[in-house]
Amino acid sequence: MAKKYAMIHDSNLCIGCQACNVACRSENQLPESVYRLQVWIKPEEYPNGTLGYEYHRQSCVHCENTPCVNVCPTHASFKNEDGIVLVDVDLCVGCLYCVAACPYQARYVDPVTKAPNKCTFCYESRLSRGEEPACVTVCPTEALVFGDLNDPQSKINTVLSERVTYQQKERLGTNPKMFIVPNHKGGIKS
Amino acid sequence: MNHIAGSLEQYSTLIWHWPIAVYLFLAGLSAGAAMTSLMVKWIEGNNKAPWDGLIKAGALLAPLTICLGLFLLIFDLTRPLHFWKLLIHYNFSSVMTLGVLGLFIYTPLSFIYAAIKFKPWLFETGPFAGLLKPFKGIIDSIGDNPAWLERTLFLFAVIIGIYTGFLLSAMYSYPLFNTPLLPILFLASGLSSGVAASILFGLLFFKSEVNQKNAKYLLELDLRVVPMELLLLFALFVGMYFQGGDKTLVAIQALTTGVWAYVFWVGVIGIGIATPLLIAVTALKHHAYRVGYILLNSVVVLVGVVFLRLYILYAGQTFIG
Amino acid sequence: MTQMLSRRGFLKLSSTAAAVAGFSSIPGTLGAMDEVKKQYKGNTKFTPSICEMCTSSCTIEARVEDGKGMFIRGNPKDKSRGGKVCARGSAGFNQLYDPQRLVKPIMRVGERGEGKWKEVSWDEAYAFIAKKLDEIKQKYGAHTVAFTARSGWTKTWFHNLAQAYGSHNLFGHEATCPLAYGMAAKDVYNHGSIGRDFAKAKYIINMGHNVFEGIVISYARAYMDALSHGAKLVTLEPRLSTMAAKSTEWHAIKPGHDLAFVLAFIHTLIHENLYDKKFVEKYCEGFEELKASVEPYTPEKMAVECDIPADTIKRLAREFSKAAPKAVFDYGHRVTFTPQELELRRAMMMVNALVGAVEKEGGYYLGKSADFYNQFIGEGDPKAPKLKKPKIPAYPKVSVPRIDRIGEKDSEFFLASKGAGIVTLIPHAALTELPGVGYKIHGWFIARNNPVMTQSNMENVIKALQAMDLVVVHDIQVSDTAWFADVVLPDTTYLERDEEFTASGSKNPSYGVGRQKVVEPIGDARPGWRVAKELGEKMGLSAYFPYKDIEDYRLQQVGDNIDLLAKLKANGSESFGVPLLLQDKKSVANFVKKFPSAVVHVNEEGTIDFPHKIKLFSPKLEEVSKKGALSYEPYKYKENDELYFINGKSAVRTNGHNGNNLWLNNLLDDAAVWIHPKTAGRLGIKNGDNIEVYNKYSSQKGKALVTKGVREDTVFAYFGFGHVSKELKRAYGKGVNSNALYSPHVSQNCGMNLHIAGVKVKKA
Repeated sequence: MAKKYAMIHDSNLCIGCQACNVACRSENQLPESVYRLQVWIKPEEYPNGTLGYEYHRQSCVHCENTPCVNVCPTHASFKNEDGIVLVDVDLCVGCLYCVAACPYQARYVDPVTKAPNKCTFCYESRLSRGEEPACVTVCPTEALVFGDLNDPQSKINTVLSERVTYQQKERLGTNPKMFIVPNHKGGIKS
Repeated sequence: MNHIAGSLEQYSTLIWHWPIAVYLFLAGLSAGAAMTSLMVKWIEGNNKAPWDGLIKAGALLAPLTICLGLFLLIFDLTRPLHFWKLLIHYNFSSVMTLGVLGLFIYTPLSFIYAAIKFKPWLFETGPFAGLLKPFKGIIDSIGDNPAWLERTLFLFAVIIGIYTGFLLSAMYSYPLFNTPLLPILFLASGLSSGVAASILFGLLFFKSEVNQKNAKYLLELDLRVVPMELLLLFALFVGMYFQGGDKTLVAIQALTTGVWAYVFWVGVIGIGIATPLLIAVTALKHHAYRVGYILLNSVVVLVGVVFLRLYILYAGQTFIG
Repeated sequence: MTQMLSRRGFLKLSSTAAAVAGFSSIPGTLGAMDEVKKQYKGNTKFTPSICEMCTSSCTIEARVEDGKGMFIRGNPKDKSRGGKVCARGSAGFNQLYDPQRLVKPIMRVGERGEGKWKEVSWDEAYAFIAKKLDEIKQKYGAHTVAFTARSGWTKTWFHNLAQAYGSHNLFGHEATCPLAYGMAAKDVYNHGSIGRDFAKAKYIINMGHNVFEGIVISYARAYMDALSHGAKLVTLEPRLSTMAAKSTEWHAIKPGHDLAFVLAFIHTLIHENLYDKKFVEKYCEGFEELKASVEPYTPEKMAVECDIPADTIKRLAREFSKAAPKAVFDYGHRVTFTPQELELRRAMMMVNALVGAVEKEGGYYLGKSADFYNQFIGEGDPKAPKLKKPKIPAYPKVSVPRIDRIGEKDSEFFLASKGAGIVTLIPHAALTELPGVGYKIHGWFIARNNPVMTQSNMENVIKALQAMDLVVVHDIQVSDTAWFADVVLPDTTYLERDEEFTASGSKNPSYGVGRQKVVEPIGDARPGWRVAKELGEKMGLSAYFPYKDIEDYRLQQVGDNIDLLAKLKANGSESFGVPLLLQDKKSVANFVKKFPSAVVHVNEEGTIDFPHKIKLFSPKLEEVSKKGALSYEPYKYKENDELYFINGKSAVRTNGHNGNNLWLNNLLDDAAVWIHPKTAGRLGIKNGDNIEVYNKYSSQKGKALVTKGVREDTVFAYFGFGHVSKELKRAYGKGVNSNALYSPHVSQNCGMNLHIAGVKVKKA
């Protein structure tokens, strides 16, 4: 049976340490100037007057309904059988339609190939070896949970049933497979 | 907290730059010019050679501008040497693929249509006459008034005009693009630029062959399309304003913030819409035929449409709520 | 067999690897080397090792990935770290191939700090150093050369070399960072290391121990565990750190006034009878003295000092005592908050004793080294093995005191170990003869430490370096200190190096593999064990280095316990026995089940008594400096028109060491200084403005970050910025160098630097 890979970013557990950011760079040998993944730390003043930080994982959210794949004229951007959105650099003409169409700003243009690229959940490297994505492997506080939604026994399904989550920009109908556990301190922002 | 996640440069939402705006302008102009030429030709008495200068101007502009636009488009790709892959790989959910298919039909048709209008020059008097002779038979066999060709060309001109709008409006990442009125606005402004360019081109290069009556017809047409654009812009922004959320915010920002607000009010509204209307109710009042003002009118309309494309493209990518 | 990849093939395949981008022409750096000479072989299977991107020494494992690079993760066999690693740890690979890294010895050809170098052979470098050391020995005595080494491994090699040579002036970095809490533990608990069971705690008070930024993986995980289980975390810190932001309560305490809070806290515990009387009576001594000494420090009085309302202090004390014994008063890590550091840390540690939260789940526990653990095991049961040391001749006796006078009867620093020493005294001792010492320091041998960056008052440190007859630095890069050295010896990075085995203990004894190399050393870099041995041999001290290589050394460490050797190499770590908490009945029962002979130590309550009394009053400190009891002495940190200047750790760059790492530098290269909106408004400063932070010691240029996350009277900066070595090209001159702004203060009894200063800020 095909997999349906998904990830949870629990912003209560996240400390914004960028371990994921650097592990991704190390595993995927990213060119210096670009990032597949960053965690943005945003200062927040809560309604009760207290201060805090919100942690936003900036990366591809692996939509079910993929604006990037829809607009790509050559199928260079595609969703594979396991639900992961990938780029076939060979087919890419570099129109950047996908980069523009992504509501999550998840795509960057690789300075070497000049083709857009993005987080792949480490599909080519680690998943094929039966390993979790690099970011999940290193996350010091286990703020990231990765797994197969089609497997009822998977940890991600357990966690999804236990913690309240939301998806970013749900109203767009993209149905991302990146679930966010909101910071208990603040309101849910989508 | 300091930003400790690294460079944010790659997250710029400004992806498409001026060559795309110019392409959008040229594609619209091409479609508008083809429609203009056909509409003038379809006026009774205009259906035989020697062709009216305006028919010729539109017929020539259509293939030239679309080719120029496509050139820009290809060289704006980050991987231009791979552009041919666009021609053999199709994704029917992508407006870009649909556009490529439309252009597959539209571009050759616009060339054939132009060839019919410039038959003597192409095959007899022009410098390429010898080279092109083998094709004369084909063009001759189509005849001077191929209804199927003209109707198809007109239909695809409309499609190309609209597609440039859908290309942007298909992206819900940008609230200003993602509005149902954008394709209509682009079609209307494309037509208006086609009309203006045809008049300008006709009066500059085929002046002796231009029938004053036809020119007046086009000026009247333009005078109807330009207010239409104003109405569409009005509906677009007011519509966005009432949609709430990001859309409301973007509508307000796009009309009030920074350099793009100036481009809108001065370039799009002031030059592109108010000036032609002003000329129409003053210098060209009661359909006065004053060539100088007619040329000026065409120039401001064209400049206005360039500003409109630039404005939509840049403001759309700048203000995202 | 493991597969080996050639470095050249590796580089070819990773043409986009940022690590090799750009070349450096500095003699001796990797960038200046011939491509052909860069031999490289790597292990494609995970090799367990220990990280060295900061000093937390987290367990890792690393592998060379086929045609791609290297992947580093935590060692999954280490449960406390769960196989996790931080950003700095992940960036280790980038350090390995940094073209700016040093791979050949270099010697100064210009003035110190001029940056003129020549490449030399190891032999030339050794000959030069040996000759110079001999000259100093003849002229002033060997003891006038100070040897500083990074904690752990590096000390083993270079402190051995130092003592063989004849110097007893041995130092670590401790007095610039953690020393005082270790001294406090020794004084209060008569124990070298105190564990904190954060994960099981229900209530934690944290005063600036920001483990979510100054990341120690095991602590960060344990804290998060506690939070996930609903523990209450109260943070008292002048700025909104990540720790503060994750806390249940954050109180922006006035910088430098933590002791006032803790004394009032203790005052409340005692006066409201919130302490564990039974525990105190049975296991503590000096309670009456403590009670008397905190008498004046009422919450009401102290509230004015520390800027925490008296009611809050009292409430927190009540809540804390109610949660005890599952309560931790975190004694912190970097302990440079006040000139009264030793009092502060002792006071914090006494809180846990007062509420009886020691050797119980969710509280403090004493680190169970083999010796400590074995004392509860009788005859007939196996005992925790001890690592051996190679036999060496006795070191030459030194008749004069050390510069910190540790080892002398009346030394105020008696609580510091000789290996740690009071490193902050070196610059002072190089410039003047310290009282009761009788000589000046004339040479400094520095292994993997960067005092120019990490000691307070950079100017003073540089002045001292300039005054010396010899400065030798062993490091992977031309650090800020190496910039002023005569000879810089290229160290291997931790990924190229094997180290000695280690022994430690948390709830039971444990052993570590030290480091294991994942790739062969690049260029001509050499590890500490080899440099010390080779230099020692050059100086005619071979007898002190009775090992062939590190493998031989390790074999001598385990003796006949080859099983331990095999396990350590394969798994990275090994533990002995079962966890033991002396005051936890279940744990003790478990322990007795495992070691039946231990039953004789079990008391009538089913627990085990502390082998030593917990001291709430210190007779020895009283004798040496009249500081046996706790006292609060107000200190003038700043002038009235100045702001407090404080610093802290960032999650992506630490100390002076990894700021030049390309990946990390790209994440944060010019850390803006935090300033409150009201203060900024008053000074006409806007977010992102260029500013100048200045006082009588230095003037530092940087950027402003206007945020409510810092007190109005305080500005905050991350440290490890504003590097002065021009060889650290990415980090050079970027950001505010906080240590340049600090006074060269050395605190009484603990020798700590002080990381609070008064500054003024203006728009640049």
